[in-house]
Amino acid sequence: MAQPARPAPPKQPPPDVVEAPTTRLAWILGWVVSPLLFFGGIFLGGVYVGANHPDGWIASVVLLFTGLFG
Amino acid sequence: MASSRIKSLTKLALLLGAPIALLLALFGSGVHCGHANRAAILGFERDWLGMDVVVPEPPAATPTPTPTPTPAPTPTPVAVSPTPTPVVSPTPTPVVSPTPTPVVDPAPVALGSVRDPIPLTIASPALLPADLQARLAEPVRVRVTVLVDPELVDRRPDWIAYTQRHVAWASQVLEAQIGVHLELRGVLVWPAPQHTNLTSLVADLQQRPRDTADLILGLSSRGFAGAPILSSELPADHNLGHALVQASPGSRAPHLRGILHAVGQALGAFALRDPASEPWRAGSFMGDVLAPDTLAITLDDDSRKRLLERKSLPFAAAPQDLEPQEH
Repeated sequence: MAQPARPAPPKQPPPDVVEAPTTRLAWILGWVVSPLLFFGGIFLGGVYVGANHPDGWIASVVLLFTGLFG
Repeated sequence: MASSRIKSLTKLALLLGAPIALLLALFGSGVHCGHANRAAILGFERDWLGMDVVVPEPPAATPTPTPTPTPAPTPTPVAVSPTPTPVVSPTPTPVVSPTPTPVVDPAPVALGSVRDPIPLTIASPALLPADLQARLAEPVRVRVTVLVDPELVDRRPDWIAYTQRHVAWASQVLEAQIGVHLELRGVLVWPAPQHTNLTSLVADLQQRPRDTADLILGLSSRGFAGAPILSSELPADHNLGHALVQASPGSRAPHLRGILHAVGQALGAFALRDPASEPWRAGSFMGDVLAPDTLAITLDDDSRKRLLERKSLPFAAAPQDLEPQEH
């Protein structure tokens, strides 16, 4: 048996949503500094491993790949 | 249905795999870069970060043999065969501004294998009067044997190279200031110095045989605690044949100022003891061995004059009557 059509609930006015203003500093921190730190840290970690553990398996694998494509 | 599932899986793999692959590629490029520039990176870690690492010798290093280090309890001497070096004749310094300017001379002088530049700032020597300029031009070679504290041997796997570097750097400074060239004759493990005060350490050094060296230096791991006070002035006819080198922990060249201070005292210069004096504050190595690395290494005029006058004197070959006392 089909349900009777129910009237649509009254539309409520949308709440006033006020977004916090994005300052320049926050933008720089979020889009420049953080990615730089993140990716730079990964790169520097690789540099440290390559310099201090040249005979390890990580360096061996990397050198193998670079030897294939280099 | 199957193809749509395959497409979905492929998209998922790309969505997750691509960032991971990019990160791995970034890390791998860092590993490759670090492996290709090992010497420079390890040198940076040692000199600027103070890490205890061994810097590999460059492929074209001069064939100065580096003997294997002896075990600490064994008192077998590990001699470093010196490469025959010509006597260096320091040329008279041209007109130099009296205000000290940092000068770093990377040319190796004491040992052919030492190519590392001095990691500290060295002030240009001041202009000398004519009579002292002539003394500066007289080359003097001092043969040095270094006894290394076992604690330093345990802490630094490259203790022989470490000693070579510091003696070479000290020689560069002394050649520029007073025309004295340090020739390293041997690097030995100091046979278990059980002494804890300056007096005992100096007395122990005094008893050590010189062999073919003029001056025996004891490279101690202890921080500088004041220069040993000599009970009487050095005789007018010879210099002291032994000296204790104390460290400046935290410095990029922990024993450089200590070696300069010790050699200076052995050659007859007086240790500066007044922290308020101008030479002390200016960074003379006869003053504070614990001076910060930002202060250029220099030599005050009075000490320089005394060293120039006494540099040609012979060194004491046997234990002396002078009894060093602790500061």
